[in-house]
Amino acid sequence: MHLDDDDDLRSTLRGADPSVRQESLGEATVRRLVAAAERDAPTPTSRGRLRRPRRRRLLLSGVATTIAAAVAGIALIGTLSTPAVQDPPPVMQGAPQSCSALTVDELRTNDVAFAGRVISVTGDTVTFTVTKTYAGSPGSTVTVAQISDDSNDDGADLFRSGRRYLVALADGDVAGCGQSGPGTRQLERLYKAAFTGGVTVSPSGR
Amino acid sequence: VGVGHDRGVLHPSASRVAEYDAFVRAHGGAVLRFLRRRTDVDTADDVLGDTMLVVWRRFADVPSEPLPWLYTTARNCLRDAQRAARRQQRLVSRITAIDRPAVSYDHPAEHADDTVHKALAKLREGDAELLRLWAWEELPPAQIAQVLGVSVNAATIRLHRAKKRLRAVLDTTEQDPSTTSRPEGAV
Repeated sequence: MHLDDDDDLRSTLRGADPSVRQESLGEATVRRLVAAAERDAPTPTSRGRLRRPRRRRLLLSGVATTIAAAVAGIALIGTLSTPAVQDPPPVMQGAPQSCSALTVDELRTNDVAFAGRVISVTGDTVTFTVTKTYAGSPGSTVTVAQISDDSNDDGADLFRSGRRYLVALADGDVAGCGQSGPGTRQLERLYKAAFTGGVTVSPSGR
Repeated sequence: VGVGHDRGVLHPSASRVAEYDAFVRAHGGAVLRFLRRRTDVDTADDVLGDTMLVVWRRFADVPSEPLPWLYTTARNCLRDAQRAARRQQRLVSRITAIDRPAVSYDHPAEHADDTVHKALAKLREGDAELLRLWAWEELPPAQIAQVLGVSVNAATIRLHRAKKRLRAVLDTTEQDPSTTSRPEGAV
C-alpha cells in the first residue's frame, strides 16, 4: 500500500472509520440526555457556587467488603455503571463533592499509606518516590494506576508528574473520594491522626 | 446561570434547558462518533451521557468552538469508565478467580480485523490517537494540540512523524502480511 501524500493516507484512514460518518443522535437519545441534565439540577453552596451531585467513586477494600461484593454479584456491576443522582452530604473543604466527609476511620481501612512525589507518569501508570510511610510497607518507590481527580468535573487525571501527594492504597488500588490527593496540610493532619505520625524516609520531605 | 427557585428546590430555567437541548443536537453526534471510534457501542453510549453531563454542569465554560474541548472531556470520561471497568474486573477476578473476558474495553471489537486498524494498533497509542484526530475527527494541528494539551508545534511535528510511521507499517504489511514488527523509529 503506497501512500505518497497526505490525501491518500487520510482517505485510507477514513475508509476504516468505525463510526458512520453521518451518524447523529436520535430523538430518544437527545431526550434522554436532556432529561438526565434536568435531573442533575444544581444546588447552591454556602459560597454561592453551584454544587452538583456526582458519581461516587466506589472504594472496595478488605476481606469484609470483598465478601459483601461477592454476595452482591451482578448488582454491584450495575451500581458502577449507573450514575447516582444524589444530594451530597456536607464534606471536608476541598474534598470531592459527591463523597462522604473524609474521616480518620475511613483512612484506616487502607493497608498502605504514604507521602510521595510523582517521578513518572506513563500512560495510566504512575510511579512515586516515597518520602514518608504512614502505613504498610510501600518501599522506596510505588507504582499505581492513575485515577481521576474527583474534585474536577471533567475527569482529569489526579496525579501529575513532579507533584507531591498523600496516597492511600487498599489491595493495591488507590483510594479515591479525597483519601488520596495533593499533600495539603489538612490531608496530612488526617493521615497523621489515622496512622500515628508516619516514618520519614527522605529527610527533605520533598 | 438560569435556575429557577420553587419551594426551596432549584430547577434549571426553561431557557437554559432549551439552550442545552440545542447544544446536544448540534454537537452530540460528533461526540458519539468520537467515542464509537474508540470503544464499544455500549460504553460509547454510557460515556456520551457522562460527557454531556459535564457540558451541562460547565455550560458557561464551554468555548465558542466547542469540539476540541468536547473531545478532551470525552477522552477523560472514557478513561474514567475504562479504569472503573478494569477495577471492577480486578475485583471480580479476585472474588471468583475467573478469567478476563475476551471483550476489550479499549477498542471497537467489530473492526479488529481491519488492515488499517491493525496498522494503527502497531503504532504507539499517542501516534494512533494523533492520526485518528487528524483523519476521523478531521481536526487541524492547532485543534489536535488543544485536545492533547500540547503546543501546536509539537502536535504538528508528532503528526508528521505519525503519518510517516503509519505509511511504513502499511507498506510493511503489504509486503509481508504476517509481519508484526514495528517500523523503525517507533517505540
